[in-house]
Amino acid sequence: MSRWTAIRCRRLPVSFRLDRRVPPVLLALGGIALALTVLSLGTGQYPVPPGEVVRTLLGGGSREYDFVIRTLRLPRALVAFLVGLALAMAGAILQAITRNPLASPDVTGLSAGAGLGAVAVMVFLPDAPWSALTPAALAGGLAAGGLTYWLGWKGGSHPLRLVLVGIGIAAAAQALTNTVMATTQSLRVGEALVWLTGSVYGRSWQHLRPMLPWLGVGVPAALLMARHLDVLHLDEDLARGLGSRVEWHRGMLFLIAVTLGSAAVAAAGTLGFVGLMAPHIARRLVGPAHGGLLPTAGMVGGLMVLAADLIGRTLLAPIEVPAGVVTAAVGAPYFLYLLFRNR
Amino acid sequence: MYALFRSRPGLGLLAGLGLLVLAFGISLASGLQAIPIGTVLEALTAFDGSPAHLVVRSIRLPRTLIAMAVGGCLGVAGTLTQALTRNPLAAPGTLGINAGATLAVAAGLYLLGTPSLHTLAWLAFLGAAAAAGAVYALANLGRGGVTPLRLTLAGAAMAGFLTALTQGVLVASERTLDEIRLWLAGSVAGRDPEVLRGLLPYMLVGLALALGLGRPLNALSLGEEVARGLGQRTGWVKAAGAAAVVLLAGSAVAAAGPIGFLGLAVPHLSRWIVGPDYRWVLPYSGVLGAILLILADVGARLIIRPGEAPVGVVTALLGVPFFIALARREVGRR
Amino acid sequence: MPVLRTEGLTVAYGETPVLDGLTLTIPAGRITALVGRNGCGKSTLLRALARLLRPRGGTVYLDGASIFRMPTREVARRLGILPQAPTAPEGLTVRELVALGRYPHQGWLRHWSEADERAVESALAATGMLDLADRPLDALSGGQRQRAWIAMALAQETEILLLDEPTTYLDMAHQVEVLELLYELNQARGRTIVMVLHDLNQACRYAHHLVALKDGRIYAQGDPREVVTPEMVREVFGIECCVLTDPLAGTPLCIPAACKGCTFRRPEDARRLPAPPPAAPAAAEV
Repeated sequence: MSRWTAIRCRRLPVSFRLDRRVPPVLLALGGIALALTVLSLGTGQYPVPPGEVVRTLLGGGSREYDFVIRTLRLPRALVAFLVGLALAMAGAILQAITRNPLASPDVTGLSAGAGLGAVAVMVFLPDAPWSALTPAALAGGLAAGGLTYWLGWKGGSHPLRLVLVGIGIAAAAQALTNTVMATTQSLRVGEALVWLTGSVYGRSWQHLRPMLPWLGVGVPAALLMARHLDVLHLDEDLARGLGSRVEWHRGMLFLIAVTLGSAAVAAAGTLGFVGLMAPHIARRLVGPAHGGLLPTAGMVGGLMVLAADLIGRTLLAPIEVPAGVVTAAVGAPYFLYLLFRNR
Repeated sequence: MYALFRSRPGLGLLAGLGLLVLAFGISLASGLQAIPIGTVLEALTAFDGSPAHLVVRSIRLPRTLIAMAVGGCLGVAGTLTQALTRNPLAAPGTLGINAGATLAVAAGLYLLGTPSLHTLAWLAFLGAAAAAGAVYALANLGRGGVTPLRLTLAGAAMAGFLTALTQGVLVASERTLDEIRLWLAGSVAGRDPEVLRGLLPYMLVGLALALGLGRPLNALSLGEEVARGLGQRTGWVKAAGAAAVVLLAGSAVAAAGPIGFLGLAVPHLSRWIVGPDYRWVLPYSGVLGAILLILADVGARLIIRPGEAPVGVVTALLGVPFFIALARREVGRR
Repeated sequence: MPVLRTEGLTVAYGETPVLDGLTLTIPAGRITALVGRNGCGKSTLLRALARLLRPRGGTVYLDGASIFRMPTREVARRLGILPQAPTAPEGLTVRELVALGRYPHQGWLRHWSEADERAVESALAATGMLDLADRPLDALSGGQRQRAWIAMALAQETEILLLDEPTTYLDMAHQVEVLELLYELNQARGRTIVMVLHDLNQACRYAHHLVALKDGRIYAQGDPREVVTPEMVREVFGIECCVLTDPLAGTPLCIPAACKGCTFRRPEDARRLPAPPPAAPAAAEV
């Protein structure tokens, strides 16, 4: 009858409801992600057959395989997946709290702001460790996202205005980034430029580790607030009428989205359109209820970046096309499709 | 004051030309090393080969000339785009036309090695035309016509898409990256004076075409149907306007890279000064665009001394608040 | 029985006051209809009753406590509001929507108790939406959609239900369907219902208590059979009318004549109208 299964604890006031569509979808996506990871780990200048990849991952490979797979390629694949996951969840949250299907970290200027923060650290503090990028990106993302939010919402809440203001803010952040890069002749500029394009090129464990605490806080927090998201996704008046503390919840969720988005930007630069597309694809799979949507969007996002990285590496090999170029090449037409779908 | 310019527009244009000369002088005099205006004049009239004279003649004069030409082109191109689309948020930058030209030029540099200036210019025209056509087609896809907002968003998405492809080209070839990094951010510094000489014919054709469109655009601003009712062949007007936009924006990009937000702001300022008559708005936009880009370039030289910012950064930082204010107003109106 | 009342309620948008020191007690367990012209403040009153608007002066009391001081979740368990023409995200199913009505009853870890499930099922049953429960909202007709929204408000299990023009954008059959549903809910479960209605005749037929607003003040209130007179309609709506008795329900039925003395195309019909009014008050409206 209903698509829900109730999970209840008899003694404690703990109860959840599970949409029966979600577990199989998550399982399937997880399977695809694993397969894609194995494929991605085996692909490169030094190909490794899938069987060997699996054996190496389980700890039974030869020494050189071990180095190629576990030291070089595994962190890169993990960064790709986690970056996609974080961007997609941030996008899903932003789309719900702005009630705007076009919102995403890049469209709201959040990514550009985070990029500005990170580039400033790269250029002005060349000796700073990689983990310093995340807080800097967070500050930039918060400032840019907050500005967009404030300017785009004052005196009404039209979705398109938010997007337009976001485009403007992103352009300003981009201009400031260019200025920062123009102030120095240091070698970090070239590095920063490639990094800004959005790529997981050469990511190692030291790039992965600084991401984890931020995701460790952001992802569970987002999942716990899923039911607030459901209510905020309705009318503003309805949400208030249902007893949601709208400003407080929206602010918290915005902060979570900025955290996730900025952590992703700090790890891999600005990967466009992932945060826009993944939630839409996930909505097709499991519907708009956020309890299932958030994890599904995360999985889809992770898959997208993994795939984009793989395509970027193999398409014009030996030239590596940054994953961000691939996602933008797919994502911009999708954005246009969303824009012109109904009217 | 502006009531005066509205009733006597010729006077305002004259004043604008005076300001242009002033801006020109400021640009020749300022930079890392300020040069007194007397020395600047001497360098132009009685060149003696001293370092100061050399700086004025071989560095600041060419870049100021390029800034003037590019600014004029972008101002007029912006006015044309806004008139043709009847969209206050339209401009070569926001509609992705600049991005199309940029991609074509970057791809040309990557694939052809060192192509001639004319090849690059034609590549830029091709890119600009393709992007303009694509945005226009996209905007017409949706049912119920094109709202200004949708057109702008389509342009932004198009620009994002093309920029990503440009970045792909750059990363694919590291040589190209170093050569055109500054150009990509929009800059008039360090450009060969030959560039201007080569592009000037295209610019002049574009400007002449644009200035001839003043009267038809006035009719078109009342709406396509009204214009047709007045006996205008709107298809031809639009085609000529689009050709002018492509020539102007394409050569501006070929000369100085994608410079954003100038083409957006200038038409609004011109209309504010002189009123809605396109026969005057177009020349005003040219003069105003030239003045603003020269001054923005002066700013670019001064803001992060001893370094120098690309002028595109300055126009973006000044233009974004303008764009946001417009966006907020436009959405409110809907 | 819960008592909802306002005292000296003043609400203003910017400088213009919309409600001006309004004092009103909503009769418990009955249906109250707020009527008046566009812009008279009836929707504003409803939104203020639901604490969606902060008043500039005065307050709203729910059983003696100001609802602006109570925790908003606490209010949401006792008072539900359905705004005018609400929107839902694309693809949301009816059951998912109705389940959102349980929001104020849930906690950090208690997302789906047995009580939640029961409330949702009974709300679906009461509105006749069980068969459509797994359909997405956007695939439904206007009337079905409105029933789904009402089901959501029902699942909230509040003693008081506020509705802002629940019949807008519905055709006549669906309007009647929705109003009968609300009437039934009131009769069978004793819910207090307050709704803004555009159609005076519908208000007369379904409401026990009629509140007519004019310029941010209460012009008249009480049983529709006593309140609705040609004078009241002229003052509140600015229209001449003839008040008959509804042959089916026995409630007042208002037949509009003309706004500003415009003549009918068929003068022989116009003869049956009451004598034309003195034109002065109507002209003053412009």
